[in-house]
Amino acid sequence: MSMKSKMHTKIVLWLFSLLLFVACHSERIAKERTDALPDIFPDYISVTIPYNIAPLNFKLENVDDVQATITLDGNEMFRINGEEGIVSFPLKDWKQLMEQAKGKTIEVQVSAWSEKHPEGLEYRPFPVKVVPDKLDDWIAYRLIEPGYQGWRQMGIYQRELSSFNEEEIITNKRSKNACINCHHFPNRSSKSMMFHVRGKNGGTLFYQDGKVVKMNIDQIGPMKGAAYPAWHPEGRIIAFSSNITRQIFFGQGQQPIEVYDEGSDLIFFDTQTHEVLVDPRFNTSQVMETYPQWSPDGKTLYYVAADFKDRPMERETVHYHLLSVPFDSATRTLGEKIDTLYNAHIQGGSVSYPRVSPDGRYMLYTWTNFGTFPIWHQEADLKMMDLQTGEAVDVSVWNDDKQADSYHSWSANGRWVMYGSRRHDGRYTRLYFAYWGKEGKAHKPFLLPQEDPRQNTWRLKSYNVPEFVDGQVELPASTIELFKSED
Amino acid sequence: MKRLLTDFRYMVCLQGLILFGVLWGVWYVNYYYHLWWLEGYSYFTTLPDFAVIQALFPDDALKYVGAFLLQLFYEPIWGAAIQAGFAVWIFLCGAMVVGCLFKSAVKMLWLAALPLPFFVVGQFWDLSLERSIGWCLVALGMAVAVWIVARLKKIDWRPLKVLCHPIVRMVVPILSLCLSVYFLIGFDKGYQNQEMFGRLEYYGEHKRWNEILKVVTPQAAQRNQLLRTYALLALAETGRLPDYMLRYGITNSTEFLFFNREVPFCRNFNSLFYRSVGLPNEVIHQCYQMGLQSFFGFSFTELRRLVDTYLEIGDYPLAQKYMEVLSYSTFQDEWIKERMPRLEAIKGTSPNYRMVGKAFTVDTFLETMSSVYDRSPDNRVYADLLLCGILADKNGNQFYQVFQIIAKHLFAKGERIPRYYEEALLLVSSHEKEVLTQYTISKESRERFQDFMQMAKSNRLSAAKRKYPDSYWTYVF
Repeated sequence: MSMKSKMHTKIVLWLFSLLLFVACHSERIAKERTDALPDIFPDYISVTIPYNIAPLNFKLENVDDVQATITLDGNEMFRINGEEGIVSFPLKDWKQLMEQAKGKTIEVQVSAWSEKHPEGLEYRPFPVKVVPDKLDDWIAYRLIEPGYQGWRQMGIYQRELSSFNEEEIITNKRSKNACINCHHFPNRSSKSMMFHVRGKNGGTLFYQDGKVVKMNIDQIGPMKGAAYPAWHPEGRIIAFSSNITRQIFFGQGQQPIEVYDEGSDLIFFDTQTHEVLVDPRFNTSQVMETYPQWSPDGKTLYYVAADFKDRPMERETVHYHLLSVPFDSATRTLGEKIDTLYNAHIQGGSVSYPRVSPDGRYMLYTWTNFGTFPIWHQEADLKMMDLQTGEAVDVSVWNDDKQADSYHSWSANGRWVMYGSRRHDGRYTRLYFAYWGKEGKAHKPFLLPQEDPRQNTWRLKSYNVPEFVDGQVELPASTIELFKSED
Repeated sequence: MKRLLTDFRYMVCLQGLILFGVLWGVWYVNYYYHLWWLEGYSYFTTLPDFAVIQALFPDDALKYVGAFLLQLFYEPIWGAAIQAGFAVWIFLCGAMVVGCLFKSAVKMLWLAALPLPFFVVGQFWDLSLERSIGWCLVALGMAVAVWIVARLKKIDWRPLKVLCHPIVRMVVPILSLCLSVYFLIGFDKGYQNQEMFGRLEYYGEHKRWNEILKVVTPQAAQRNQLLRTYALLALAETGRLPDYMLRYGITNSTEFLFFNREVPFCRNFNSLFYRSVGLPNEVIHQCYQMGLQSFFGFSFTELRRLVDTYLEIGDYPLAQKYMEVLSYSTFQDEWIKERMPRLEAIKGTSPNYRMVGKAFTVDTFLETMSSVYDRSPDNRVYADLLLCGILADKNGNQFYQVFQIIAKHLFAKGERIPRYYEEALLLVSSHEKEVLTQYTISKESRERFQDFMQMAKSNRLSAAKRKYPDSYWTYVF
């Protein structure tokens, strides 16, 4: 090829690239305008987000082309054109935007072209507040089918919140008899973890100091099974509830399943001596105690308890109170005085999942009409109590009025709450994040961003027991060998 | 003609076509419903979670390819073609090996037919097509390897004369084909059972109850509980349960459903049963349990039924979800398109999870049917299932109590009381005299009852049972 024709080829290629770039980023002007806000999914309108969150990609339905323009302080930062109604922000551009937008509010102006509006319709811009309070880097959760008798593929996964990177922590792909559940991290540490494995060759696995060991807690001491864990902040003791859990299926109505405990007690596992300790007060058949949780300073154990009732017939009469008891980590003993923070008989309903904010001030819990497994109760809502005053704190903006809002976790800095909600379709749990402002105000929650927002529909698993983690969890590859069994 | 018979490529094509035709015919004629069932039991999608969460690579690589191919089995004509195609592929690879190695390859072509019986013998139970695809890849690999080596080493073997004998050349391929056909048809009786189960699922799916009763005879049902359960549902749906149930070998009420049987067939049946009795929650529950047992945790049968169920309930978000998920499978577009108008019709409406009275749990068959009947007291199918379930448990007193309630709705206007009900009422009449005046029991039944009891009382019970083998009295005594 001659010099001249090489030059021509280069010019043509350069012009083509420029054309492509311009085409992708060129501004389209919509002919019509409306004062309405765009009906986007997920609903990111007027949400408060951390600066280190992944791009809030969203979608408009029944739209061909869409354009989103981001402005900050009146300046246009960048513009995105998308097809099939999907707005997908480039990760690098987004991160740069977030750095600049810390403490400020960005405006997102959306225009859409569709059969109904072939010349384009420009919507009223909507704000997104970017706060400088960081969100934890990773979260971990179990992915499972929305709760039936058996199981097949399941696993614990982790997701980096500043990107769309999702990875396995541990799954049962190589051991399909195994049910992996109740994962837990002490103080959100990615270097330590525990989870249960049910099925043949099961047990409780502990990951610490780079190693994984399996223990059969139900073979130690009082020979009670361990279920819901709470790792003491000092790292030595893990409180467990020991539950006999049952499940019933309803023939009619929108609630298909009820899960209840036939009995539950509290036990304490010492990770150093491998003893299981019990306090007889929390091991009676007359009262069912469950969902233990430590205060951030480790001096108080919170839990819920209800009087034993004949289930399933009397399930609607089972109401769990919220209680607390002091704990002395030196002697490994619980104090005498038990306080009632929420009296279900007087105040109504039933409490599950008590979680104290990292500053020790607030108690976040899930409330239902009755019972102990909130995700199957449409009325399940998050509620909060000020532990200093005992007063209720308004977090109603976090709740959906039709579907369950349930399991929740606090971020390390206490500014963010993550929780599972079935508001999307009533069956599959998805993760929401909400800002808890220093001023004591709950902000509008936002859905965990996905690279393609349709992933929320495509995924046929629920997010279960979401927990914040301070880094990527890397279990040794040999972990599977500890519980592997034949399919 | 003689030249063609000595032409290697021609003979390869000819034998390949014959092989394909015969095997396709065997699969299509004998295993039509099994092929259809294979698609329903499988699942494939291009959505990211399938490859990342459901599958394990590289272990599941062949299953993944198999799942793609199984989509075509929805039309058994293509399923049979693929099944036959695997064998033809192996034959062709063998032919390539022969062609590379031998000077007079056409005389040694019979060697290519040798692997076929070994492949076909395990083909039926290869539900994921993993084995078949593996064989094909190995065959291809060997063919390519031989081709390379043959070219490098310039191999051109002369076979022994005896191996080139026309009888050997003719007999071996025919024998190989016959053996393959035998392995497919006559070797394992389980194949016919599986075909029967596929047929029942097909008929059940499409509510072809009369056809179920044609294939599941009373004799067959007496021998096999799996068949019996389908027959009982078909009898209920066609209004014949209280006249013919006992011919089918029922022994108690638990035989109307499968309990604690974690196999897809049983879960699928339960799902169909609950569809018949209007309990969508249980249709969904059983579907999930069925799907879990598929290779990748979901199945087309499961997902399609979930769509139909949620459309019926009017639950737009969930119906839309599953339809969108299915749209990322390769061949579901038509099926989805048929349902789009129904989806649009429920957009923006509230779902109807019909709640009548109190919530009830799905427990034993009788407790469930009792609640089902309470919701719809004018439904004859539900009433028959409940009453016949009680009769199956030989609980005459309970039968009478329940019948009195049901009769107010279903037999109040002089409707014919089915035979087994009459026979049960006649038994009850021995201590509840008002039965005979309260209900119109046919003269024929009364006379038969008198005769039966007379024989029973005169120590001729066995004779009485032989005389009235299909009666409720025989069942009870």
